[in-house]
Amino acid sequence: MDLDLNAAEKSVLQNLRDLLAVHPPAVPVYGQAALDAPLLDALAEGGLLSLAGQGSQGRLQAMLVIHEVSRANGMVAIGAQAMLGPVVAAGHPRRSIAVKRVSEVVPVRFAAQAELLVVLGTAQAEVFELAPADAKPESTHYGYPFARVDAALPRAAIGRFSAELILRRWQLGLAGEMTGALSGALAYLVTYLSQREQFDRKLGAFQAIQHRLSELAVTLEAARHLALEAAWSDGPEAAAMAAYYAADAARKMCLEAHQLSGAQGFTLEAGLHAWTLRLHALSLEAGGARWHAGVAAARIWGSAGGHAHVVGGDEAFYTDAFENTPA
Amino acid sequence: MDFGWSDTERQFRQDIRQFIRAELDHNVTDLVPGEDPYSQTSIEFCGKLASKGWLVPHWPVEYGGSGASPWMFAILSEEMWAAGEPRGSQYMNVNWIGPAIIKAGSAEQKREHLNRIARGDVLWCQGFSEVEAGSDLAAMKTSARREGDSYIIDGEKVWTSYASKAEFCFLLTRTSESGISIFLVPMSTPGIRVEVIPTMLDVHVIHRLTFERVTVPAAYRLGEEDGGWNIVRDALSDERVGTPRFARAEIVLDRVLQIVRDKGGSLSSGTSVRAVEARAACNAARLLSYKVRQSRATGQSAGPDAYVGRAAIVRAERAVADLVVDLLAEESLVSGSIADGEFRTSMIAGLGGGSYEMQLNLISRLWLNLPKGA
Repeated sequence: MDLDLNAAEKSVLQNLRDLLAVHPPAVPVYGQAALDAPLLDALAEGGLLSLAGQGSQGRLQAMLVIHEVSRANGMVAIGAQAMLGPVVAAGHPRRSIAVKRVSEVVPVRFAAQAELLVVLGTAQAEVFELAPADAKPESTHYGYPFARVDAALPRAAIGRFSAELILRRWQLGLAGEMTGALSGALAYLVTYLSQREQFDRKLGAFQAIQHRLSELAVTLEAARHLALEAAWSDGPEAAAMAAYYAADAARKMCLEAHQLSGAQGFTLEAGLHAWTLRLHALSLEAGGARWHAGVAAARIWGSAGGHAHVVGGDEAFYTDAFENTPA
Repeated sequence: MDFGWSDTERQFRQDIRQFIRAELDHNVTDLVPGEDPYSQTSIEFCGKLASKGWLVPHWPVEYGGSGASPWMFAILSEEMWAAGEPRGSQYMNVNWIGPAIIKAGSAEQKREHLNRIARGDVLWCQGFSEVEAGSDLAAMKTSARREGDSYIIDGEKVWTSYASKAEFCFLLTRTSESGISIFLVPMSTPGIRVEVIPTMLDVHVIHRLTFERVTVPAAYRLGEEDGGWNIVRDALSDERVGTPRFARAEIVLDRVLQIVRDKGGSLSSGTSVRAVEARAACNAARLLSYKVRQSRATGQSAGPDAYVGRAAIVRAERAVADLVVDLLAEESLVSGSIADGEFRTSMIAGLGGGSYEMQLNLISRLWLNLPKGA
């Protein structure tokens, strides 16, 4: 057990910071978020998208990268690129990735920009090459570009993987993206409330405000450590639980951050929306907090209730996980 | 970073579990941690632990320990709490009273106290809170006035656990306007009166300690006069995560879900979410406690990590309690039932070791560096 960063992890973070200094992510124009292709290229060239293929230490490093890129508002699907990329696009880290659940024709993050679409089924996940005509962009203000992709694509899959593996890596990536954005939002709040004066006092000096920020800080630390441990273990329970916890925290942070930052927080010049609207979007991906919790519950307690198929990827898995988790 | 345990650490956990199964009556392990029946049990159990070298493994060899890593002690603490804390009040001895004496004690104090703590045959209580000085510990008024080679102690301490069984009190007193001093006071000293304060905690008994012209030798003072804050601050940082409540709460959660299942019940998706929320809160509390252990392992002060860890522990206990009382409904009203025990231990969780609100204050100041209040 060692919860301090080791030399390799510090080195990865330093490389990432150097890279972000050269390719500083910009606060996206409201409602016009787009893939930051130069940043994706730089991350790939810097070897920062291939780490998760290198065992538990590699996955930990990948989690650190995901957290930092998301915290900095990097406009790439960093969770999928860093956690799923080494699985579905091994050796090709530059290929941009979108992920969706099978049979769901919902808005999918980066679907109109991605080269690869990972479709998570109940027993297996399939990977398809995407053409621009496959995606129908949706109008949205939630921090990322979204598009719908038809349930049936007019070409064969180029790869097939275990659904279990793809799901847990998707959840790990999401957990990291959400903890990064949580961290960015909290840092904004602390800075703003330490400066903003009302009633002749800094707002951050009021205990009512301090306690709410402290609660958010505890939640962030909890989410971050659950995600780190889940990355290290690569266990399906841990990944689902980390994704659940981060998604639940993300929803709460979106509301709490805007409550605490008042009218100023809603202005585009403040920039808070870059984290909060992304948090909201991320909290819903893959089915959202309740869905992640259903998966986790089925994996932790489900088999004893006669749902042994939960690990195997039976057709009933996802329905049961969400709708009918047994005690 | 590395979230794994070594083979030695894994084996150590297994050995402790086996030892607990062999040595403890099942009913004892079901008791809420800290219950009074533990006084005798703890003397017997801690003696056996000591003979295995498992009471103070993390202490230096010269004081009866084996110099084991703080991680071994973390494993030990988790397994003890999960089993209902059979060390009783002695968890305080080994967690922070002994270490405080190791750090600040005189040669004579070390000789007198450390061997007994390491053998597991002595009970202590802590004299911290006063009626007007609970969360605001700095407002304490119990005084120790120097007279020659002695101190005269006057005042009152309240809400003290284990006082009627304890041989010694780790007592905080005021020795000057801004100075606090610590005394290691035998409870048999003339002038100390111990009364039970009736509470809704039932078997967990708390007391009022009255000190009327209690005369103790100056040699009973721990550390310098007026130098108590530094010692107690360090000791309390261990105490914040000294009770790994998440380890037992997790077991309670699993057991109650099994009870529901045995009755043929099923969980709604909403309840599943709460069960995962509670489990995740336990996991998070475990990891954030490890952050504090990490500081110990590397010889650093835990700093604000201790307050974050403590807050996470309280959240975990409450999340589990909240769910299990809902699941067992009216059955949770039955005295001594699993949900009754969990609910009541969760009520006190946010107070012992410093109130939850104090942890939030300290996180604001030391973690987030927010501006000071008026």
